[in-house]
Amino acid sequence: MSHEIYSTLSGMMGVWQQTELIANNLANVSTQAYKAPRASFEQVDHDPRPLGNSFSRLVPGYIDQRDGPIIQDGVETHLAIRGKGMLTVEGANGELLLTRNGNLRLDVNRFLVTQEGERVLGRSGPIQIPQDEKVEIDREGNVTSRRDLGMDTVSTYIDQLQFAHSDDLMPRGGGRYTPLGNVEDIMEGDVVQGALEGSNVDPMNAMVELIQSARYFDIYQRAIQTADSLDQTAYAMPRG
Amino acid sequence: MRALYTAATGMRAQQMRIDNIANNLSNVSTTGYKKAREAFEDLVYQTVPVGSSSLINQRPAALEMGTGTRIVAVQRDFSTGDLTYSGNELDLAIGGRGFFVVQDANGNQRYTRDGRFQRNLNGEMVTAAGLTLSPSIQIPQDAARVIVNEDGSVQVEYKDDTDVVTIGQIQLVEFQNPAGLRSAGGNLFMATPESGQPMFMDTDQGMVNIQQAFLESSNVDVAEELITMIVAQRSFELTSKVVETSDQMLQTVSGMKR
Repeated sequence: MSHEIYSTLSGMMGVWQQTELIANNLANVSTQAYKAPRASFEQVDHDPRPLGNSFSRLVPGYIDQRDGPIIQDGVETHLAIRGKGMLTVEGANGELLLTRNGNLRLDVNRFLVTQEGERVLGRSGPIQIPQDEKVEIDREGNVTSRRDLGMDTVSTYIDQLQFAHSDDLMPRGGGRYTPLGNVEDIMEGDVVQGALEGSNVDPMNAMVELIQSARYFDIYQRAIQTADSLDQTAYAMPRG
Repeated sequence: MRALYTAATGMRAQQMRIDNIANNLSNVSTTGYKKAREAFEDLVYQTVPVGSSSLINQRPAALEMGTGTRIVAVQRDFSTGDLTYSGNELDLAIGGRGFFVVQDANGNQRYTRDGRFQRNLNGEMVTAAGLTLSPSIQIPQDAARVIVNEDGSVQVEYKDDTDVVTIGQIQLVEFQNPAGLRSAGGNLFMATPESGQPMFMDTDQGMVNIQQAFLESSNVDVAEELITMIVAQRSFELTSKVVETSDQMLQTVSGMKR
């Protein structure tokens, strides 16, 4: 059996995995603050000679950190972040999680929490909004609570949201990431209250990638068939 | 094969979104209706090891393969709808926050912002569905006019008398976390551990704002719903293309063996 059939198979498997990635990106076209992960192909040489035995495989690339579109909805606990920076969240086991998903709410104790109920962290711990008061969050992430008493407005400063950035993130689902590398205390963006960040999946791009995958898949299949018929011809050659 | 199921989660979520839009749109004329919005989240990631990589040497390379999306919550938007004049003296609208407390036949308390009240057989104020206002307010048979003040106090005027008589007080309640309330249908909400216990609102601090002869319209914005519907439909189509493509790829695989 000739080896090129296995080289081609490696390409085919890579394209298959890429289709799975595209499927996930397209399924998350409506997921708030979703960041599309990317992957790329890489050559693996087991035989350095020209036309030697080489394979390809899909390796993780980067997470596309570009901002998604801003969708205004006027809900006071909804935040969108523009630019670099992520919200910090206390996970169920006390671990630090990062998220861009500003689809927040207040829990029964009026802590600012994610949809999963994990507390969002400020510089001095979780953020709690007093009863009867409204939340105001400015561009720098300063959280103030406001009470309207007829004509008077009483504002109380609560805390500043703790932002962070890490280059090496592992997705955990629910828009949350576990930082694997250094976590920098950084915020180079703006916070927009009353808005959500949309998914940054570009449907047009994803469609083109999908077509491309399907085509490559067909081409690999033809290559395998060709290799197969070459083998067949070789086996069928008369002996002697 | 995973691509098929991943795409299916996207299609299912978009389908649920359309269901929710349908519900919002059909309640565009429902008094005191609060629109609902879906919150999408990505599902867990599976790790597919691809061996050591020459590009990323810090850790063993592994593809983090997502498994799709889901709607994690449907949140109600409690923003106030437009107040519209109805002229009916027992129509009440809440201008700010808060809920009316009503009691069903089994004595369960429910909360509503739908202020279309009527009199029942005993002269008590009841909702359109017949649930009594709590605490109960009984309007005397011979009252000529009912006056509901902004702070919720209820007064009546008699035909042959110039004096007004106070007969009761409408109590509004609020919740620590109104988003945690559960919808009970019929414009009613139920308290849950998420929402916390109902708390009576002070009437003397200017917090309570009840408008007589007004009704609160639904806060559904038709244009917004239609745009969301277009987006949902297109997203549905996009993910269905993934199903199509994965299917073709599977066909290619099975066609390889002659």
